[in-house]
Amino acid sequence: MEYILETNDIVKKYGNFKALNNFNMHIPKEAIYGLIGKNGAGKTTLIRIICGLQKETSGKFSIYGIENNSKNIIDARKRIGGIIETPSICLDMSAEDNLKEQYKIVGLPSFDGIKEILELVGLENTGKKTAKHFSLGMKQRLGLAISLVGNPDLLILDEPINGLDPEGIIEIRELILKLNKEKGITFLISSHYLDELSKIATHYGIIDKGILIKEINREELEDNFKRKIQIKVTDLKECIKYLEENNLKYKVISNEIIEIYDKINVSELVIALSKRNCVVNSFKEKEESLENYFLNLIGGANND
Amino acid sequence: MIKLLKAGFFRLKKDIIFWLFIFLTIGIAFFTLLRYMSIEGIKLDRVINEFIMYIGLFIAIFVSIFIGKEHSEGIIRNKIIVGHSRVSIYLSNLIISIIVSLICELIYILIADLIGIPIFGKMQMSISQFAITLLDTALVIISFCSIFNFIVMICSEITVSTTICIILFIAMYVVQGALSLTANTDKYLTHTFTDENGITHIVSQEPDPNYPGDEKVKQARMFYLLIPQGQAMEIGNTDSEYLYKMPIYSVSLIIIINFIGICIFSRKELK
Repeated sequence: MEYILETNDIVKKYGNFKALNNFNMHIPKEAIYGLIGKNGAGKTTLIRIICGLQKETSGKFSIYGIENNSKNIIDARKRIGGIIETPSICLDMSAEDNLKEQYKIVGLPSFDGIKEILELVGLENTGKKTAKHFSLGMKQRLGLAISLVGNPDLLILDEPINGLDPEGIIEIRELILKLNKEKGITFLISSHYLDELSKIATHYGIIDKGILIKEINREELEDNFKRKIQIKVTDLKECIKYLEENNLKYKVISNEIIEIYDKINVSELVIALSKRNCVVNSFKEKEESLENYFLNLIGGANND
Repeated sequence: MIKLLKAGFFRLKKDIIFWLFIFLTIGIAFFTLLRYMSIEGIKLDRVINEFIMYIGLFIAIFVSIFIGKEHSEGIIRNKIIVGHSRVSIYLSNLIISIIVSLICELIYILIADLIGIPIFGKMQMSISQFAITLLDTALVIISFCSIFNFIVMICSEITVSTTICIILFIAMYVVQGALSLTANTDKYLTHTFTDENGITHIVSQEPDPNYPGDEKVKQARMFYLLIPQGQAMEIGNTDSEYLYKMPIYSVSLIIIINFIGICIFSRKELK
């Protein structure tokens, strides 16, 4: 498999504090890689190192197969675009002028394509309005537009939907999917919005305390998700007795509600419980969310 | 680096601070001409060399705001992400600062010359003196730009860097004043009288008990010329004996400051 970005035992220390601890990550070409972690887990530190803003304490990484200590890493970075924490925009210039400035920085010979980029992010009607008068969502979209200048192959987005309204979040999501599908752009996205990430990511990296706990693709993740049945019963004691006799995993939610994690035949369960004078008043089938999976994983990692 | 310079000049054209400084320079040129018109015996040389004495403050404010915005708005981050080296980012900002400052000085000199010649007459200094004065002026400007660019590139906070730059200029102004007093101290106290014909006669000369000593005077002179503001004041005085020595001090300062600045900026951890 071809990897656009790989890290190899990256360590980053600030004094005695290890922000990244032997971090190993692999981002396949044309993937949408979701980097998930709590605040302070090391996501932004990793992104800063990859983008050249900070230097790793030890370890290596490669972009397009070019190692970070190679002289050619600068050439590899020319194929990257990114937003780190906040969009980098000139507040005294309009959206169009900001893009023209980025065109100059990247070294493009003409301003062709600016209109298309502005249309792509929905800022085509901002005219001469300077960026300091933009809403947070508009600034975020302008930052994304700037990162698209130069047709990068890899886009690194650190919390790209922060501050966006629901409509804006959907627009960004659709834009990411469109760019990935139509232009084959690889994405590295760090985000707290796990539900939103679960709608677009093809690969996930879960980071906690500077360590990559798990690296998994979407298919493997879905297999790992636990399905459960939640039932409301009239006699909790009898229900528990039955589950334990049949070695079924369960969790008591309240004095009427119980969750069962193993695969069961619902009809058999209801009949068996009714024979014990225990009536099933309701049942729901629930699928585990990425959020729960993440919390369980972090909780498990902390208990190791 | 050419790409960075083009990007910088594009942003400059749109920057209100840049245009404010251009108009301010034009205003100062006219104000200076008006001020000196009412004073008898003023030479054009004095008028032309006036602006250099406080251009340092202009450079401190302009560099700290224009270049400082690159940090505060994340433009430097953009440049690094797309693959520009730290050295080229540092040097391109320095070059832009120098060009803007030289443009301001040139505008001032042109206005002072065009309007000043009919009022004050031609310049008194020789062509070679004028040439060395121009060279010294350019090097002082480059020195100021080097110092303030260094501060702004190392310090990520625009408010902090602007404050430091302005305070540093004021400090340079005060220090050069103190050093100048020591550097220009005479070894001897001279007693004179002026007769009815207006001719001054020396009555006696005796060693000044407050004379700090040859070594201290020499040191004061060296530090005085090392500080760009000291050199600026010497140029402003128009009949300085140090015009041919000053380039050595300026070039040394420029090389050292920029070398240190590039080394520090190359290792700086950016957010």
